[in-house]
Amino acid sequence: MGSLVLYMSMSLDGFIAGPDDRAGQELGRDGGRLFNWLDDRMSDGPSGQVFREAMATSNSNWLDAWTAPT
Amino acid sequence: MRQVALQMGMSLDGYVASDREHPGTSVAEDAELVRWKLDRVAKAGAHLMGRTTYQEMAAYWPQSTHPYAAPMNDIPKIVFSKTLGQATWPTTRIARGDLATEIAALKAESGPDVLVHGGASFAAALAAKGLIDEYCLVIQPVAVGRGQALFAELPAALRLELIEARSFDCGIVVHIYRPRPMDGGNG
Repeated sequence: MGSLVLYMSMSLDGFIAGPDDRAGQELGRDGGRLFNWLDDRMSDGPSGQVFREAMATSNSNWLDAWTAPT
Repeated sequence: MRQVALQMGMSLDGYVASDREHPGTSVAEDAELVRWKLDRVAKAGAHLMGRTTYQEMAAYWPQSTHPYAAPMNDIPKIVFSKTLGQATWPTTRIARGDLATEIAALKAESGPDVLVHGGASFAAALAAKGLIDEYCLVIQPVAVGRGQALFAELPAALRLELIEARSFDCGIVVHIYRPRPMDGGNG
């Protein structure tokens, strides 16, 4: 039986979005900063390392699709 | 100028107190972590704490045989309280003035860096006023979901620079951060 792995970007105090998260203001005020590290996901640095580990964890196609350049 | 370092147990969701369980004591510390923490505790120029934590520690450490007991008992302590009448734990003084003023005076003194132990309200007040130079977060493998959050009183997001991250066999991860001075924490 497969495991369900939660992989999320989180602030060090446990938040996964900014305040006032709602339709029209997705991720809340300034919540997008939680994902700024993904801008650096193809690098050799820690952001790239974390991203590659996430991709290698399992069937991570969702992550690939979700972060694909538009 | 000496620095103010906070060293506290925290749940992985950012709480330093909770009615569910103490976020700082979810697992027993392994020997390596005890040695690591002891090294920092023993180097402190003073131990800083709020009134509640002072009363807990003053009732505990003088009778304790734990390795932490000697540096806790021997190194000067400063308890921040406007209501505490007297401090009977030896080498303790009471700071009754304005928090920022008292901390500024303490930092201007010579001596090793000082260590803040909590509790939740005192630490949150220091964090909110930007008075902490270094956060040493002893992150427990527990999420408590509610309680008093260390960063609950921040006036704005605080950006930090990671200085060190270290994991221990008992499941505790220590993160050391310093506030980023360039953006003043206003993100």
